[in-house]
Amino acid sequence: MTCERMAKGESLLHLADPRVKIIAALVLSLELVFLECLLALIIALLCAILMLLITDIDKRLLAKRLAIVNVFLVFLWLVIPISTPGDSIFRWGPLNITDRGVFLCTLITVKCNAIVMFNIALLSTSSIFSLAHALDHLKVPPVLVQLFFFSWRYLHVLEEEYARIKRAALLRGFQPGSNLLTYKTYANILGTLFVRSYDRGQRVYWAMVCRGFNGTFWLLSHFELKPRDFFLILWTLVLASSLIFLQWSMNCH
Amino acid sequence: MHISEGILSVPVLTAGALVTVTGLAIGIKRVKPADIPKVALLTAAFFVASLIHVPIGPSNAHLVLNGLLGVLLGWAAFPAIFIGLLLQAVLFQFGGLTTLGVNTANIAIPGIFFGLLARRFMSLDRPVFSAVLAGIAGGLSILGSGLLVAMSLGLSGDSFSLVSKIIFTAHVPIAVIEALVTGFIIRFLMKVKPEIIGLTFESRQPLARHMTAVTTLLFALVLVLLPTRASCHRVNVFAWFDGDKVTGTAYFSSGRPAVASKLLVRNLETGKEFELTTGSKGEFSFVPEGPGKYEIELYAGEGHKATTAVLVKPSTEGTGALDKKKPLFAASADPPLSHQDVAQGGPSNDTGAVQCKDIGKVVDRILAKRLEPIKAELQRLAMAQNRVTVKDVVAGLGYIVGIMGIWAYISSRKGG
Repeated sequence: MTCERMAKGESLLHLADPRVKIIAALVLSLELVFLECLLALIIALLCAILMLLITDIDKRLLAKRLAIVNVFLVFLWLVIPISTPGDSIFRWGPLNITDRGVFLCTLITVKCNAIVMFNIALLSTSSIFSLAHALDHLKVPPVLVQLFFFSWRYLHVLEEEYARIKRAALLRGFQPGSNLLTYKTYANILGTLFVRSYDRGQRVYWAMVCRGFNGTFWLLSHFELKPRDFFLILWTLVLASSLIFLQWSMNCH
Repeated sequence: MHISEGILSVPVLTAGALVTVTGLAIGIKRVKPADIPKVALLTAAFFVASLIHVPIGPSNAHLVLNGLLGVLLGWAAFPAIFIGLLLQAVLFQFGGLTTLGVNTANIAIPGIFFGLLARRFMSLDRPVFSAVLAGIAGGLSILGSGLLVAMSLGLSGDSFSLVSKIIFTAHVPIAVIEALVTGFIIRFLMKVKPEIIGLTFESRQPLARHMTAVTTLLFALVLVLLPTRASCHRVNVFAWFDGDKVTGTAYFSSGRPAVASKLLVRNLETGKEFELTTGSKGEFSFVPEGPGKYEIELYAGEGHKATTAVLVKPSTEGTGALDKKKPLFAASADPPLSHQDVAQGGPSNDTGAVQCKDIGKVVDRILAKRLEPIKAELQRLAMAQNRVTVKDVVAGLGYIVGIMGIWAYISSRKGG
């Protein structure tokens, strides 16, 4: 799978402390949800693009991810301009496109893309392992952190397992279509996957118990805040407060 | 299935986050250290299942399997679904951090509810019946999720009403596929590895005590979600007629003025419409084209809407036909309607029409100045009445606690 491809890199954001990145991502995402001022959101979007440029992630991969995010927004663009009351901009038969609807769609599109870009720049630039490690340091309940880590650890194993079973089915002439046989076959493939993952989970647990596992994950390495982390904290604070100030001073909503 | 970032309103996101935190707290308590690898592997399987696209007619859809997770994991499905969605958000930007709460609640609650309900009647000696039951639970879970997703969107603003209807409709065919696949998977597991499901040969499985908690949580979710728009999204508009023009203000229930918002004024008699924009303090005014009833509609963005009506009585200026019997304060006692009569408490009409008009104008000006504070006071009072106060919030919480209490009482009686 191509899951963690964005996490490879040597940029400033790749090297930053994951704890700081998680908190910065949370602060910026939550703040953008509250913002209702188009100007502030556009500035946030530009800052997010700037941060993405710093990360130097493969542009084609980035475009692919953003395209997936925007599929739902395209659907909103098809519906909301018609279903919102307001002044008509363009009328064609029974379809009435309103200024308010178009404005609302623009607002949502900018907001959604800005949040997603911040999250790519801040979260996807860390490996899942270091994120789990950081979550543990941030006092997230240990059960949740362990579930997060284990799920990630076995995701690839199961993905490969699934690909193998699917290949075996295809070799035996399985052709997916809208019929009962297809659904039954998929159910059996998934059932096999569940059985194998259950067995594997049992074996993994026994292996861990043999090595003295008692429910605690010991952390051997600890993070250390470096000057670049303070720079990231400063940047987040300045960005967050100036966006709030902009919304407040423009007095728009 | 899952909603992207930046679309839902803040109250809906908060409600979803609160419900998810509660669900996670309950779910985590039920995961013992020995269960972690099993739950994690089923979470990974859930994640992989969501990458599988199953054909439906000309299109295809990815599986969700929240009903199946509910049957297999019970309450542990809450953290499992949460982790699955978190991984999707970080790895693929499906969903997002801020919507994680709402999305988890929307998917997990129906799954756990119908899953546990179906489990109660499943047993190893009736495999086909059990599989059918699990299938129905799987289908209903998707319908439930679709309903919750539609509700989350619909409650975020009036503009989303059509979108939420379309989204719910799109869930119906998925529910059918999901029911079939869930049923077949349970049938397969019963043949191959029944211990995953953990059923016994009893014809009625013991009803899990936490069933009550799921139901309460579901009710709490609905109760929290339903009033969010009524209380937090309210805009108000007030207007009055003061002799020659209609003035008013528009503000949010927090007391914040609705600045630069569009107003649509409609003359109900002639049907003529025109538009206005509020000023920097949410104020507006216009000169009515003639007597009659005017309807003022306020659009304060993101689907916030409020209406009010103003009655413009026939103006006496110019005609000279003065009605001197109007009481002075009757009009100011009902501010949303007219004030104009105050201006006409002038002397008699002994003098000529021209003189009368002049006196009328002077009196009008003085009275308008004198009445300004009274008007402002009345408006403040009306605003205070409409604002959501701490008292209302406490009352709402008390209401929820009360309903939960009644439910807990009934269920404890049932348990004997």
